[in-house]
Amino acid sequence: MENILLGGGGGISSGISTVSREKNNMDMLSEESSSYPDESELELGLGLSLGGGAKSMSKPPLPAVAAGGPWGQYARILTAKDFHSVVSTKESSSSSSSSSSVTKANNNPFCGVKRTAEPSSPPGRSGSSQVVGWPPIRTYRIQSLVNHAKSPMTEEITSAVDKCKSKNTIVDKTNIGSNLNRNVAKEKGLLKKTSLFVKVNMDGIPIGRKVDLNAHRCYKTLSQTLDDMFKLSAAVGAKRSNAEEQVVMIRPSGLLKVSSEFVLTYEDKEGDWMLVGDVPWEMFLSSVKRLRIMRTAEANGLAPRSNERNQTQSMAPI
Amino acid sequence: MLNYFPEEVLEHVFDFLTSHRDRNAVSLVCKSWYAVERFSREKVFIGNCYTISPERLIARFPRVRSLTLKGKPHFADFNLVPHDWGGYVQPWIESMAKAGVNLEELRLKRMLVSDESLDLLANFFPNFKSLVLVSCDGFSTDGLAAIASNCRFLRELDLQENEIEDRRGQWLSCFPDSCTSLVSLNFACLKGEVNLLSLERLVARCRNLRSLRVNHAVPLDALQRILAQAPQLVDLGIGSFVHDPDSEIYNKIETGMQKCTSITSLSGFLDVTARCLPAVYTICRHLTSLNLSYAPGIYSDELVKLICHCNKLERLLVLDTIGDKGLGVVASTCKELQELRVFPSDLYGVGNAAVTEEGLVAISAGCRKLNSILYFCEQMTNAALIMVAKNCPNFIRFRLATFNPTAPDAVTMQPLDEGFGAIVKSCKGLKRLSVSGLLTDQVFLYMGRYAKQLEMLSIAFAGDSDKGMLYVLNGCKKLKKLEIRDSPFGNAALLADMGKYETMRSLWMSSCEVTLGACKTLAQKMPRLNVEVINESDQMEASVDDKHKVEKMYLYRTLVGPRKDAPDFVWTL
Repeated sequence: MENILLGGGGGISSGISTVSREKNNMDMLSEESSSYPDESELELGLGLSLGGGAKSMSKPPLPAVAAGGPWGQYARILTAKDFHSVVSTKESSSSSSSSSSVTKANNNPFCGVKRTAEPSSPPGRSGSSQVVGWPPIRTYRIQSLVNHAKSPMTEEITSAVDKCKSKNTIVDKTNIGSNLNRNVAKEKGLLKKTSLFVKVNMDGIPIGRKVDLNAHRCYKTLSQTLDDMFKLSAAVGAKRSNAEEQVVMIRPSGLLKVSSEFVLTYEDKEGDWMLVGDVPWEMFLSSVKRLRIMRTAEANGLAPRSNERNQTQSMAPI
Repeated sequence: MLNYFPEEVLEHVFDFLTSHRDRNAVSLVCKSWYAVERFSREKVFIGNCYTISPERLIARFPRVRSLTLKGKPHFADFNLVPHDWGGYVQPWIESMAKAGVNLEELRLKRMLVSDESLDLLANFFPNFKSLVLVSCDGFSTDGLAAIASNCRFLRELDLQENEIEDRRGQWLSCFPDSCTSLVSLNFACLKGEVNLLSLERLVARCRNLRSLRVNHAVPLDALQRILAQAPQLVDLGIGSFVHDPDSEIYNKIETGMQKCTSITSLSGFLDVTARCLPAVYTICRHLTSLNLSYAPGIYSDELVKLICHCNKLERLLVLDTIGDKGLGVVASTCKELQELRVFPSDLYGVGNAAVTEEGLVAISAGCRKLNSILYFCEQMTNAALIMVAKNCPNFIRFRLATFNPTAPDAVTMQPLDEGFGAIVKSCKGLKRLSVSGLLTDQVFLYMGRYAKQLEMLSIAFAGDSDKGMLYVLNGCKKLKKLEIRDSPFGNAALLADMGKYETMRSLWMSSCEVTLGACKTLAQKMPRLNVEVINESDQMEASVDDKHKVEKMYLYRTLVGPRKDAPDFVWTL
């Protein structure tokens, strides 16, 4: 449950889409690399998309997440436990340790200037929003977004959410963001009960993984999660292998991009192997049985994807 | 010489003055002009309902027919102002009723409206024609029923983004059969069911209906029947657009849409099956305004397919699911675009940054007529802002909100001072600006130097010292509304030029460095300002020290002194 709550990553820029962003990660990593222990704990089946480059500058024990194959040797996927120490709570808003205020301004590695005002973490899209009224969106609109988040599975839950949002919610002097967050988190917590773990195998790697498809709501986050999972394997594989072994280069946008070495495919209910990304997400969820990260060469027989979708998900050209 | 003009002539000349500013200016010329103007003024705009009292309004403008009132400070939209802070419309309606004002039009924003007020409105103003409520609350569908039942000449009922309690009455059925005057009906924000048959009948008998925006409870088949009755519609807000695209109903909608050749404004889609969207492609060619910001779950591809048809679009509101790529399509299709708003689609989930600075740059390059933007994005760069400033020097409103309020330039890690500096320098007509991202005092220096037409400025988590605020107060001569949160501006900045606040409508400062003592000083020295401190903490009396920092302060100029309806937690100093 906690995992989902923090899935937004506290302002971590998942979906790194430009070369420049990748470069930044590289810079950050090289700067900070000395302070992190070389742990390579794996979390199987986590299904969390945390993107790359997330780090906290004031908490040394927190390791970095590898941003990409060639330049990351750190491969620990951050879990909710790590965030507890970083995300500030409401009670601590009056206290401000001098350096942690920097980082509390989110797990965003880009924030460099100390804020003298409230040190609460403005996480933007994090599930644990601590900043009242940011981003500046009308309550009315926030409520309609929350309503959109409802799925057919959770009718009972959402009516409970509605009851929480009584007509006097606007009177509420507390952070409406966090109120809604808690309610939505409850929704999602219950959603998580119905998880959809499917096997993921990657060509060339003997051991498969599993990923919870219900932890995602779109292809992008799934793709990044798989990137993270398999960069690790690729990196590990590359380390262990001899020079002849092909170094796997998966770009962060990764698996759905045409020009990469691999493509992401899935086996559907009818037993056919299809390219991931063609159909709407919900339709995909209802027909997928398992995933396979296939070498592009082998994938030639599969149905061609539409250009639009390809471009929508492709990142900036290299 | 001008004194020889009889009053009727002057009045006739003043009739041509439609803007409030012009009329205000004219009334300052001399006493006789003042007198002529005040008796002929029909429309009054009051930007802060506590600036003046209803009685004085009526005394000066006895013939007022249309009144616009705004209540709570803007930051109330983002939950920074307690619900019962104030902004009640009741005293205004009561006074006008007592004085026999022939009120025809009432437009309210961020005010507290009760069913009782609506009832009064409906029963005491026989010629009442137009009610527009934006971001108001405190009333229910019972109040709407009163309006519907009693306003015999009602032309406009426009409810935008209000919190309306649904009492499950049949308010829509309260429009009598004799009501045929409706021109505009917008109830998109209503949460409950409406009587579809009543709605269809109402539409059928109001032959002058131009604008109809329904709520989510109006399904596609009802919409189809409504459109058949009202092909003359100019503005349509769709409720639920969910159906099987292979059905008969869907075909009917498609043909129905083809007959609606006058629709230039489209909104709603409060519930939508993306595969049904092609039904509206026919009207896309004529659209000048499109609002899909409340439409859930339309992917970028489908959005793009729709927008491809909209080459006359002047106003577009979308969610950030459109993506940078989608914005690129907008840039190449919508050459007439003047206003763009891109809202976040995913606040709490495992979402992704769908739009970045690239989308903004693409828009600026393609849509050279752009003059108003509201853009929520994951990241921004100075280079992008500089490019935007170069491409679009015509911005009147420029509002940017990065998800991380102190995000620096995503590439250089520098503050975004230079980027916003370029915007204010290039856009000489800029009237409204909201900044975000990592910002130092430097950006305010630029604002003070270049933003000479700026009237409204929103600042959050920005600046390093009092200098920042001072640059703005000193340089922005036309500043009317300044709202600041979580920025390190303190007493020195607040008190440097106290007279300035009388030239402005209001100042909001929250989570800044201003102390209670300074607020008291200001209140003492400036009797024509109301300096209100909002104190929500429980330990009120105890540690109220002048050195205590004030959590929320709102000050505004006024002619009528401290207001009498302030709740306990609001102290007028």
